[in-house]
Amino acid sequence: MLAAIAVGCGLVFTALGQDPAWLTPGRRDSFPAERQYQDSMACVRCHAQPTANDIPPEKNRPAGRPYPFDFVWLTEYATWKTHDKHAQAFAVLKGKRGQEIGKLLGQDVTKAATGCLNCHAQQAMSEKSAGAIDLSEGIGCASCHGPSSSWVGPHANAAWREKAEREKSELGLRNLRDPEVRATLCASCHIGNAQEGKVVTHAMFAAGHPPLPPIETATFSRNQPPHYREGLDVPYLRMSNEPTRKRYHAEPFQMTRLALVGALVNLRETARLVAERSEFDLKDSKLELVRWPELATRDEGEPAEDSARRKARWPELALATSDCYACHHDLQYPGYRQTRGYGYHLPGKERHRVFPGRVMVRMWATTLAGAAARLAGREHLASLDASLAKLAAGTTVQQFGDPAVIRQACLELEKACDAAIRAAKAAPLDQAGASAILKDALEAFNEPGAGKPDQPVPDFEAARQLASLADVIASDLKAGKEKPPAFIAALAKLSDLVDLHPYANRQARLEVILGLIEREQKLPKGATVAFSEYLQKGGPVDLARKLVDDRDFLPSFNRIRSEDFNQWLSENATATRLQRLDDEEERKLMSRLNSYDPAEFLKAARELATQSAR
Amino acid sequence: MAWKMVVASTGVVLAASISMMLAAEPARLPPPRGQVLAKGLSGTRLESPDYLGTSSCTSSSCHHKSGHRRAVGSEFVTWNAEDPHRKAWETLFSERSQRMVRNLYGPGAGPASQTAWCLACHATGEGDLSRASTALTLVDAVSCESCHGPAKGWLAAHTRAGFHELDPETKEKDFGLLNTKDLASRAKVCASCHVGNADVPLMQVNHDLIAAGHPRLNFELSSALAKYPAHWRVDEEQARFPDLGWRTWQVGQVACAEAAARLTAARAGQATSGGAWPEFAEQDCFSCHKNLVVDSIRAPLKKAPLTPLGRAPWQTWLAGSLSLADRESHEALFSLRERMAAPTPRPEQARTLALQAGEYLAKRSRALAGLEPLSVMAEAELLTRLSRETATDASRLGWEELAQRYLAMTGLREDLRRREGRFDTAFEKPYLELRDALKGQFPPRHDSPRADSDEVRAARDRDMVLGKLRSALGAIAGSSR
Repeated sequence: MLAAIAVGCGLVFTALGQDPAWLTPGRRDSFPAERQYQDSMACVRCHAQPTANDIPPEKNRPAGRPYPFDFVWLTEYATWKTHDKHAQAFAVLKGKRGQEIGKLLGQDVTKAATGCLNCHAQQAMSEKSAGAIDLSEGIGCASCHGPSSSWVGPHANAAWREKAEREKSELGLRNLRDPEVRATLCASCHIGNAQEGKVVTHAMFAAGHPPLPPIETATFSRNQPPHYREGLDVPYLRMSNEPTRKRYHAEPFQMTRLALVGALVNLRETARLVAERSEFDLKDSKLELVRWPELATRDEGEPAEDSARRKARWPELALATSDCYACHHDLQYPGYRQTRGYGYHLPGKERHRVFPGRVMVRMWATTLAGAAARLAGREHLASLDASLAKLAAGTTVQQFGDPAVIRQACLELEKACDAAIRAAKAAPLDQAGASAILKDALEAFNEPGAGKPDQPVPDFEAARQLASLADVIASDLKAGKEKPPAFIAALAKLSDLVDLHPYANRQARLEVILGLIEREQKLPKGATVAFSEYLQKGGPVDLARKLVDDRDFLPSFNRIRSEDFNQWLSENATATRLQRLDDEEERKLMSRLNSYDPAEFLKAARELATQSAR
Repeated sequence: MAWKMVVASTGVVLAASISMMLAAEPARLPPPRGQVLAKGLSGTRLESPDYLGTSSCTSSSCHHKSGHRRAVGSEFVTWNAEDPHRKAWETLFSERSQRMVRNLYGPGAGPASQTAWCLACHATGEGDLSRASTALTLVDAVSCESCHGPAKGWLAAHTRAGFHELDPETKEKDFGLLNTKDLASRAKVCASCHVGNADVPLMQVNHDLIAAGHPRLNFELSSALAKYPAHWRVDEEQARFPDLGWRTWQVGQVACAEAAARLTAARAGQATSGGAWPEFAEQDCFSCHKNLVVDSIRAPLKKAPLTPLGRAPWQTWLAGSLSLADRESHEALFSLRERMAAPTPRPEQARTLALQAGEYLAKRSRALAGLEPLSVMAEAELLTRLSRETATDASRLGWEELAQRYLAMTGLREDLRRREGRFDTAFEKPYLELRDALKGQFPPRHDSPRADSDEVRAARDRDMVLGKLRSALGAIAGSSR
């Protein structure tokens, strides 16, 4: 009875004390209960191919009337199905590596109980759906856009575009134009989210799960490839008034802001993941495996009491969120690790020393958080840095760190990030500001006195983050004015040193997929090339018209059942070929990682900073 | 005399500071996080010091006769001219050493050459100059008393009539002269620096020190002694033990594993009071320090049943090949390896098992050191069997186990060469191939097998290396009959 009252009070208190979860960007995805998920079949009818009515005429365009194509491409489903790896998320579980991992873990990775489907399929959604959700379609529309039962109808009306963000969110549409919302969503799988059961454990990695690469939201969005146009690239928004543009976060330097806000979000999500997994008390023990999939196995002689058992397993739990390359590197002397020293470092601040040889929390996200804090305001740099100091203390004190101290530090870091995110979203950003941020970020490791013995240097992942940001800011700057060749060369050099565009086999892989589709859908060979070109060029209207003319091509994708699609992909020859392409890519990246030389990178960064100042 | 007064007073200060440090942190592992510096370069005791320094040995009528290197009576000459231990202190002045103390203690760290932790192994006196005579200087590096024991107890006695006739145990027990003639005791002396000493907290190279820049310890007694410029009569040893090469490898394995087990026990005892637990330096380096993509020879994927996924086995280098050195096995040792492979081994369990294993191994190393020598035939058969078994197991073994087996074969090879007067040349080619296949994994500057880059990958392909190993081992097994 008392317990019931307590629980009841708790609920009331929560409801009164906080905004509903769906209103708070970055909080757990809990849209109002009555919003139900649907799979991509709900979207395919409209989002596979535009019709002639959707596209403005070549000549004599009537004034003042936007066409659907001005707002939306209407090829989203086709893009996702053919060009986006998210559509293969479930298929990979049945691929070579997926099966190998399952064998080593002794689990069927295609079953919900393993947790794999939390990132590789729309498992969570199937629990909140009206009908059955097709899990085999991998990560489809609703995974990112939210439960569509209440908006799938109204969102097709032009009036929808003028609705407030809040209203749309309440109906279940996730506002992915908001950089914070988008970054948080990406991070939930690509970094992890312990509340949603999106955790890659060390055992999964050891069994063969590829390392999760650091993400930079703007570049990730660009690489997806986009099935949409970003803010100001949308003709409708260019034609709109200021409030509408603001609502859609359409502004100059939109990608720069996405990268910077995304950086803070990535840091926050990293901190939150660690904080949640180092909180060993759990009210609902049914959620244990959601937060700690590792605990499915039991070690001999483990404490019987739940929280004591979890605490005793901390080293193993910690490994899942530790810096991979702190351990997984060549033992080489001289090597840059000893020169660099050990610790957490927020660019622009002194490094917080950690005793050598400790397993450190994976903190690549601090690299750009420094730059983002410059946008948010100097005071945020200080508060982020203060929690890193605490984290360093918690890491140093013992091997794998003291979970209680680490948790406290991560909670503070999460809070500091939240504040910085709010500020970074609101801060003005213009040409001069973006240039200054780029220059600062590049010079943060090259401050006066560079070369002194304890100067922090970026490790490989930090260097990639920096190069990525440079790339994004440069393309935003370019939107205003073409940069001189020396700048472009310096930028290319920087990217090249860290293999910034690592999808060496992307084209080859795409050809396998498109070849399969052509073969199975009985399309002429090469029929899909025009579509790839269209996407590559950012959806120019003249190419869109050609897609309209081709009546058989895009709609043919609608007919592909995802089970069949997965079947084609997991046929032996195809699966082997795809796996080989993936392995090659990964090996190349690893080899770059192992031969990475920070001194060379910093030299290139200095050169780019000099060029960008001109 | 004024200078004596000065020496005496600084000595008191120094002795006080070091003993205070030791009192504040009684025998604890790991070494203290703060830097402790020796303030002078020499010992401090005028009265009754334990360590007397090399000058007490180097009389021209004793160990510094004017003979050539390696001559009996000219032990000091040999050591001074050739022994790498001579340079143990010098190396603390290197850039690398300086980098290490900076990584450990921060930008303002004092010199490595005076850091107590470094001096524990890089100088005589276990890092504690307060027990040493003013005649002992750090410049002497690792010198006579480091291996033979502090001379206080035996210096006078060992020249007296009758001392020679005493049995080695008495010399060690009553006088403190360590029995380095016995392989098991010698191995123990070497292991106290080259593996670690559970009784002296500072004498250990843990993962902190390695991360700061110290080379990892991968000591193996027979290869170390083969390279060592001996200042004693190796030919006499060989006459006593014709199977010296194999015997040294065998005893070395067991003695080093013993030192390792004792370290584990000590560390387990400190686990709940802030010690590093588990200590990564005890685990297979390449379980973690490996390329994330390719299933390379450095760490085969399936080490079952000892190592579940994502975990690192205990002491692969020192104890991974024990079953070959000592066909008897001990329950405690097996359980210890099994328990230590868990990411969170329970310290109490580990401590009990490690103590049991240590005791058992100590007994075994003494027994193995005193066994009857193997015949030529027995050594040849052993070499054949070792090659066969290794060839069969090659795909299951990591680099460390393979390298240890190679070193065991090397011991047997040396014995057979010496005893036969000649050696089957059919053996040499595959033997050298085996060596190159193993060495090919460690390019220059690497303390680990190198992650594959596109260029070198082809040459180091796991299957290819394994194929080479197997065929070399098969050929060795065929030729050594």
